[in-house]
Amino acid sequence: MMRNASPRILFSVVTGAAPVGSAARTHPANASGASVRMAHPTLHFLRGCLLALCCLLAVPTSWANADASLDARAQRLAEQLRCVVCQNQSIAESDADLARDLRRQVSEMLAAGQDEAAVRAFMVERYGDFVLYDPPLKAGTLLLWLGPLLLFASAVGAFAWRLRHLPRGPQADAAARARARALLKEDDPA
Amino acid sequence: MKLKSFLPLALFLGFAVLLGIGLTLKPRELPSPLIDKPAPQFSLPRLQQDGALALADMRGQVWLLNVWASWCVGCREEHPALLRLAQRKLLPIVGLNYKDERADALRWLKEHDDPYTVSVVDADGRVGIDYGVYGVPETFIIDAAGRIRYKHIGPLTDESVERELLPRIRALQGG
Repeated sequence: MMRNASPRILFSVVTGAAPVGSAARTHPANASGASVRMAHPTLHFLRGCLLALCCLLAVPTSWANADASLDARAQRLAEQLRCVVCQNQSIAESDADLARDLRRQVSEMLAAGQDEAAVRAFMVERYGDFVLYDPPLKAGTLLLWLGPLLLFASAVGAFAWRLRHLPRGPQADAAARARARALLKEDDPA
Repeated sequence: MKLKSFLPLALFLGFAVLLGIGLTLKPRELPSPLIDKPAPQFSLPRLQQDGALALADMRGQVWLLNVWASWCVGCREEHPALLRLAQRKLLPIVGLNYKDERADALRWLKEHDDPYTVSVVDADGRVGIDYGVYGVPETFIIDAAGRIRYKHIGPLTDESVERELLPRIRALQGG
């Protein structure tokens, strides 16, 4: 963040654009700044020099950004790795000592130029597929992936089977219905 | 018809058995993917003497790697069993002193007696990570060719030494 700051301020000087929330925007002396800016050729030249300087300064800035994106990658990766001590937290969430060590390991490996797959392989080699919150589909994890589907399918199957084999009550024929009506009439107080 | 009326009972019993098995499992004990794989290399400073000990130094013999620390409560629990095993002089026991302070570790061994042939210092826990250590104490059986053959997670007891470790150690030493 700090390394970002100085080129950003220089940039605002060069382009005349003020960062959001800065005092320059509301300063009354700056209100006519736009017309002054284009007026003087030397000023123009100076601005060009400043812009060039800015571009030079932007190089370390992009390094700083690389740092930040590395942190973000490490964080994303840490969220996908289970902390084997606490088991229901990722190593990003956990405060366990081992989780801290593994976060350090992830950051170091990414900083050394290794990719996410390499870090994941490193963890699986030591702790097994269990460290992955998104385990790969293979013989050992087949039941894990297909189990819920199988359960659901068998539940639907059982339900369908029940529906088809529902016992049907005996159908009353016309004579029985007439008899029932007569009986009901008998009971009717009206 | 009669058979069908037993179906719910059968389903229930099946489910109960499944859950019962589930209760006896220990989800905290993860199967190590390192079993039957070459033990990860290390070269670590010795705790009590000068110099280092490397994995290669242990080649040619069956040995035990016991991960311990002075801050570890389970280690205190397993210590008597480990001392008794050491007294039998069946195999070298290497202590991996995991993320500990040297002074604390030395004091701990003085107070509780030292079962280890040698202890090495893994101060930042990197070798621990290589061995997939996640809960101290842990104990590995490593064979003469330097392969990990068994891993015990948690405190050892006389019973687990007798039942889990010794048969495997004897088989490896005999072969």
